[in-house]
Amino acid sequence: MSGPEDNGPNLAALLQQAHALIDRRRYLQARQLLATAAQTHPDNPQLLYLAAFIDYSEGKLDDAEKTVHALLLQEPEHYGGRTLRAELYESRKQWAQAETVWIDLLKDYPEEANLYASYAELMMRTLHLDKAQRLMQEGLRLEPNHPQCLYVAALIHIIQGRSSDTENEHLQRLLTEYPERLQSLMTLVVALNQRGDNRSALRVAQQLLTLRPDSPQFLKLVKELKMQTHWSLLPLYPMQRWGWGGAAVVTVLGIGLVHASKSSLTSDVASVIGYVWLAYVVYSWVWPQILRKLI
Amino acid sequence: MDHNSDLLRPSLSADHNPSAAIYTVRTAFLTTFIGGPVAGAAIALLNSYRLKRLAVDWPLALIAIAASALLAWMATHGGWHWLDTALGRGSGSIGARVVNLIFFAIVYAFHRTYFKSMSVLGLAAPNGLPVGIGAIILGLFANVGMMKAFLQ
Repeated sequence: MSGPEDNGPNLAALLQQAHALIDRRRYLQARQLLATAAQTHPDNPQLLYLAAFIDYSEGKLDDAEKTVHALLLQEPEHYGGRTLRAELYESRKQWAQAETVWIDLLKDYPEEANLYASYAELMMRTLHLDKAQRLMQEGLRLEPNHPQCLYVAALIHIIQGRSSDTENEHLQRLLTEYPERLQSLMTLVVALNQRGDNRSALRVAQQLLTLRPDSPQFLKLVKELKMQTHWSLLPLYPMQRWGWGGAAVVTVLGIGLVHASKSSLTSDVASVIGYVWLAYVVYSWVWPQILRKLI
Repeated sequence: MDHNSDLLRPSLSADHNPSAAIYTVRTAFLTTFIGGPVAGAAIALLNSYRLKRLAVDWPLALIAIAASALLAWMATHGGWHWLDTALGRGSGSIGARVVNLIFFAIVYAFHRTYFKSMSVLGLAAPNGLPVGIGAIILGLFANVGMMKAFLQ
C-alpha cells in the first residue's frame, strides 16, 4: 500500500484514470474514483473541478455550481473552473454573466483558440453574428483546424449562405479532420436539413443515435426528421423545400384558384375546389402537429 | 491589439434582456398575411427592438405605412378594377393579400439571418400568440382608419 509520501504520484494516476472514465462517459465510476481520492486530498482543486464537470455533464447544475464556487474560492484563477462557470451561466441563460467570464479569460489567455470559439458560440446563440464571425476568425488564425472554431464557422456559413450549393469549406474541413466527433456529424445534419435534403439528414441523425443511444437530443432529432420525411407530408413539399417562400406562393396560387373557379366554373365545381383548398389549409396546419406526436 | 480590445468589449448586459430569441417567421408571416403591413411591421419592429437594431430597421415602419396607404387608396378609389376585370369581382382581396406577402418578403429580407439562426441553432422563440393577435388588431384598425381618411 502506498504511504503519505506516495500521495502525489497516486493522485496524478487517479486523476488520469478519472479523465479517461469521463472521456468514456462512465460518470458513476469516475465519481467513485474521485470520492476515493477526495478522502486523502479533500481540497484538491483538480478533484473539485472533475467532480463539478461530472455534475455539469449530468445536468446537476446546482451541485456543479456549488463545487465550482468552492473551487474558485480556493483557486480563483483555475482555468477549468472559470470555463465551467461560464458554461454554467450559459446553461442558465445568464448570457451577460457568461460573457463577462469569457472576456476575463480571454484577457488572461489571449492566444487560446478554445476561448475564442466558446465566446463566438455564445455570440452566435445570442444572435450577434458579426461578432461571432470575428471571434471565430481570430480563433482560426491562432489554430487553423480548431474543431470548435470550425464548427462555429460551418454554422455561420449555413446561416448566412444564400445558395444551397455554395461550398461550406469549414464543414468539409470539420468532417475531414474530425470525422469521429459528434459535433461534426451534428453540423452535417443541420447543413443537410437546411438544404432540404431531409432523407440524408435522417440517415446521419440515425448514425448519431446509434453512437449515443442515451441522448434525448439525438432521439428528438431523429423523430423530427422522421416526421419531416413521412410520406403523408408529401403535399407540403413546397413548404418543406422552399420554406416560407414556398408557403407564400402556394397560398397566393390557392386563393387565386379558388377565386378564379368561382367566376369561370359551375358553382358545384367551384364549391368542391373551395372545400379542397380549405381542407389543404387545415391539413397543412394540423397534420404535422399530430404526426409529430404520433412518431 | 485594438482589434482584440474591440472583440473583448461586452455586447450583452444583464439589466437589458439580450437578443437571445425573436418572434418566429410563422408569427411574422401570419400576422402580416392577416393583419396587413402595419401588423407585420409591428412584429418586425418588436424583433428589431429585441435585436437592438431599431436604428437600422426603422424604414420598415415607413414602408408599412406607405403600403397600407396604397392598399387603402386602392380599395377606396377603384384601384383593383383591373384585377376584377381579369379575375372576377372581389379580386381586390387577393391583390391586398399579395401586397401583404410582398411586405412579409421585405421583413424576411431584413431579418433573414436572424430567422435562419433561430432555425439552425434550434433557439426557442417567445410565444407569438398574444403579440400576434395584438398586432393584427392594430393592423386592422390602421387599415380601417386609412380607408376612412381616404373616403373623406
